[in-house]
Amino acid sequence: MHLQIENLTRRFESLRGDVDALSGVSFSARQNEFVCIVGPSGCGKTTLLRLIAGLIQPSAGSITFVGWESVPRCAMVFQDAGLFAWLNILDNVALGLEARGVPLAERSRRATELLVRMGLGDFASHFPHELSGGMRQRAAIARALVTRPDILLMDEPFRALDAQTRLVLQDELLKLWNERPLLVLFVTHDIEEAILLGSRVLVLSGRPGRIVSEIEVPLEQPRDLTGRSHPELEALRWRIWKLLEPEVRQQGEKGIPGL
Amino acid sequence: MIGRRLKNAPWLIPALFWLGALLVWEAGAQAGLVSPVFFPAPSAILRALAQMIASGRMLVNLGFTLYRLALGLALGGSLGLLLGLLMGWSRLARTIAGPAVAAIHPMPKLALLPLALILFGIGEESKVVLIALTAFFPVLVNSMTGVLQIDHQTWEVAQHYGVKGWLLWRRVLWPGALPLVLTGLQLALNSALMVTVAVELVTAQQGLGTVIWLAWQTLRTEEMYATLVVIALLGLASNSILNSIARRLMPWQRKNEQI
Repeated sequence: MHLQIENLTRRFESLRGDVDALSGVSFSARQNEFVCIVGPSGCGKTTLLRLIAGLIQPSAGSITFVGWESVPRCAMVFQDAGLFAWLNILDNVALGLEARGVPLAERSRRATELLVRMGLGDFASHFPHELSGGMRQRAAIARALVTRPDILLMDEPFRALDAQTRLVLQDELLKLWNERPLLVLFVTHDIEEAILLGSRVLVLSGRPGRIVSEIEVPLEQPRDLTGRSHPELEALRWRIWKLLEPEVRQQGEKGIPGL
Repeated sequence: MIGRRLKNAPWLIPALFWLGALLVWEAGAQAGLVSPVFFPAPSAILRALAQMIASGRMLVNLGFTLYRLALGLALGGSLGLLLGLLMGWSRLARTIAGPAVAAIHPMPKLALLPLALILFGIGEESKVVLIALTAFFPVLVNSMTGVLQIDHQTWEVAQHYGVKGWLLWRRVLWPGALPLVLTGLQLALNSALMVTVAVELVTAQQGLGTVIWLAWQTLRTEEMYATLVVIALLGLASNSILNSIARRLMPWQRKNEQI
């Protein structure tokens, strides 16, 4: 079973001229694989996830789920959590289940279970603004996982967090994934984060986004943050940066603001 | 010492100030420095108020005013709410109703009184219709804006997790628009109170506006002032009731702005 992306292109039309966000992106990802996607800002990383999630339609190319009996369930963790300010954490997390018509008792049980697992057991009845950024992002991950997705789409989920909180959440994400593997597509602009989390890193070019390179990460499984002290890490990081550097510089010269 | 006492009782200074102002007024009226016909002493106003309450006249007239105000608010507010949410939600509804709203909204509703009298007669209906029309527009415009300002990511999260139909109204549209709906209601309340009293001044046989007009015509100005005091208290009370409703309806808001 794998996800097959072929020649994916997405063009945004506007009065000030059309913009190609993605152009001819092809790659595949196996079931239960952790794939990270890095690229300069504005390169269409978010667009790629939104296409896979079905939130927008491709201008050309295809997304196929090969070998799945039914269309696999995608769950997206949005930038800046995207919790509803007016729902408490439990209701936020249970949102996907509620939409699917899961009865109150069951969805509360499942959401609570996951909240406890994410260390938010005491915050079920709190509102998002009463939580720290890290806790909100945990809740957003719980909201995605409670629907038991086959594919987890993460759009720079740790972008807004401070360095320490980010480390903790990276570690927790790896633990969750080790316990119950699923296909994760993790978008980030942080090269080190991509290497530490992913078993493979896709490097995207500047706009329009194309895949410049696919890099297998040689860190051992099961993964945890001790990968940080791996002797090859620095070399790998440098290699990816060298791939990205011309793209980032070019983007800067074109003067295109990040999307 | 004084500083700390003031911090514990922030109302002390304004209370002393206004008490002082009343005393100056009282003294001025007693000494004949201001005309007791146009500016009767506060004590005379208070006496008049007590008499009007004791005779039941104040209560009956207050009842009429309250009845019209409440009925007009309920009718105009609920219709404005429904149409406003609909216009926020549907571009089509916005396109169709937008021009009519833009044309009638800024019109001073009192100018429509003769038309209302023609259409609905000189009974209660014409008064309530005019008050309802006054309440209708602020609630409509604010409810519509309330829906329109719900951010893009919230809609995307809802779409992604399959929230649609009635659940979308309950979980996104309604709570997302609620802060502005309540702002609209508050604006509606204040203009409706104004129009209620104004309509009573002109056409009614009962109500606080009628009492004011009668008092003025018979030069019983202390009764006029007493009624104005009651109207001011009515405005204060209804606004504070609305604020406490807002606090109860929106527990996720850290604090509600007081208007």
